[in-house]
Amino acid sequence: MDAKNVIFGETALEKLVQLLRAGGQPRDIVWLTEKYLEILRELVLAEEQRS
Amino acid sequence: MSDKPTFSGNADQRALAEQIFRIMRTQGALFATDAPIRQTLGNLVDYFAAQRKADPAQVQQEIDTALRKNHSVFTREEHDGDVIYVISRLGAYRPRPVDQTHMFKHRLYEPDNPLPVDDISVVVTTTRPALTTVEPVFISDYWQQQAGVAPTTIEPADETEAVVAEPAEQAAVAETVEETAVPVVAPVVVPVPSQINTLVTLPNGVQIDLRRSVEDLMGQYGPTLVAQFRAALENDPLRRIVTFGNDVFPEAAVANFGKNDLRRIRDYLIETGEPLLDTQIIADIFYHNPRQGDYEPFRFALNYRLNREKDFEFVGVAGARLWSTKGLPAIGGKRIKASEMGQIAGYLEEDFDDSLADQNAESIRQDGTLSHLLTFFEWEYGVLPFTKALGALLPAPLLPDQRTAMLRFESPQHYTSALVELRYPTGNRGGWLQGLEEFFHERLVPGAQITLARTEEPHIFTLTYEEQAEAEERLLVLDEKKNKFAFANVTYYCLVDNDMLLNQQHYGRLRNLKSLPMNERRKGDVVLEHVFETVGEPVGTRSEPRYYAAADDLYVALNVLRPASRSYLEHLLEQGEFFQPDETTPGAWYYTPPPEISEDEDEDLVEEEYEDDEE
Repeated sequence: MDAKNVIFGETALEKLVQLLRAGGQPRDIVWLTEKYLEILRELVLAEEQRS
Repeated sequence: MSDKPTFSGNADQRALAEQIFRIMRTQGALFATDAPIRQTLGNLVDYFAAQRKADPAQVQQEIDTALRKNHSVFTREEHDGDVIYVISRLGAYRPRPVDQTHMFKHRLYEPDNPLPVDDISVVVTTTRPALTTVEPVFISDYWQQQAGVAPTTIEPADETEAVVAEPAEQAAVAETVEETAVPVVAPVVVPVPSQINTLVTLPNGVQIDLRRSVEDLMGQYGPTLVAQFRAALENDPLRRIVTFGNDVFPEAAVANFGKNDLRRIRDYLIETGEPLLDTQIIADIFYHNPRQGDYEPFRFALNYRLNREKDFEFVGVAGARLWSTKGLPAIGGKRIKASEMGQIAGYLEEDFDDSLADQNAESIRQDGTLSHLLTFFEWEYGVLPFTKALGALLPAPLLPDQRTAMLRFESPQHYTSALVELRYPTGNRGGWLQGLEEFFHERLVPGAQITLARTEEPHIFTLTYEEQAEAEERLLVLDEKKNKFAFANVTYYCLVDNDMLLNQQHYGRLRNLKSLPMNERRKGDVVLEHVFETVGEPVGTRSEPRYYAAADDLYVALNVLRPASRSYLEHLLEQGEFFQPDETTPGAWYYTPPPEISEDEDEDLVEEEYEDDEE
């Protein structure tokens, strides 16, 4: 995905929900922010590798 | 600042142009500042010819010449043979540029924060209507790209794509490849550093490069990223992930609590008579064990759901989630209303908080201890203003809209404890701690030095003081039944700062201090004038009273009626109309009360006014 199409806090939020549900425990928001950045990085860098 | 333009020409022309400018500006006095003000040459000639009783032709020439010399101010237009001059109230008239960069139609079709689109049917219904009618439906490029219907617009890029080099011989042999079975030379891909955009713009405009590692990004933008992410979660219309404090959990997995559950929690809180920890509520009402796998999700659900109920109020801090409900007894009695105390402590929010003058906030945070000298007001009402020093010691609010937190102050010297309410500052109202009245009255006197210290529990603190041998003095007390100050024999066992001790020997005049109502005490200047009159040494005459006092004494005396810092006192003295510093003695001040109009004089004045009216 091109980073210009990323809306921070909205894009790929579903993946984060799945991650949280899979864990089954409440998590700290700092931890979740880090995980979210990891997901966004994967999305954007995968695009970079494809191109 | 003057908004008059400068005029050119000789002295007469300048004067004439300026006069015409004034006349035209008066004509457009109610116009917008940049609106055009028009006047014909004919009208101007008629006016000036009549004024000067001069030949109209000559006046016309003078005006025309003067205004041509000032063409930078007077725009000349000609319509149907008539000459019109145009100015604006600011000077020369310049048409306003029309800004079409923020048109509603753009915002409507391409919003800044659009809803997520998983399916085009979210935007436009895909179900067939009962009567089929062919109606064109406009779907903007933006939504089509979001739904994957239209390809994303690719901006021209110079070096973004990898260059695929095709060998020249491949083209030549292409047609005979099959027949001759010559091995095909694979296209050689020359790797070029990718220029794909990896910059993500946060809602606050900060750009982060996703090529950098997560640790790097969190190290540089950590608080911003967390704050923006939290805001995005809270603004998510589907509320997929919900937060309580710093914890997050999927909304769909948060357990619900029925009315009966909420009623049981409320009844239990009222029965206990004080706020309770979430863990205690879970253990005593729901019999959940911390070793159960769903304990933490259940705890999150309890906190999240209670926070959304108007009958419950979160009064905890990070690490100790306390809940209160309507109907619990008020902490600290009802001698001071919260609204009044917030205004009285407002000086702290006006930058008159000098509590960190003698101590460092960082050292308070690290050591977890804070020393403080009790003033009379603090002692009398069991209140401590929420200064920056106290803020460094006490926990910050966990929730953004949290108003209060319940803390427990233990006295290791007496094995007692007190429930204390911390009111956080809001807007221009200061914060304070209340609920220490009983402890202060039983153990301490005004002027005592107390030490507040953290414990391992985030909501529990210790309150200690240095003990000393028994001492007895006549100290200032407030007789609340008579609403008067008086001196009484008091025995105390704590170490005190003698300058702050309100004994009869030093502060005898304070017995005449009026116990002003609380709503008057929020006016610092009014209270100071009354305090100065009471505690100051009279140096004037009966007809022209004047008082003299040292700022140190005024500080102690002012703190009898209301809390005030030294910097706030200094501000009141410097800004007060009737206070003058003693030039010969630093820190000493004079107060000359404004002359009062006696009732007789007042009546005389009124009668005179009536007589004037009758005449």
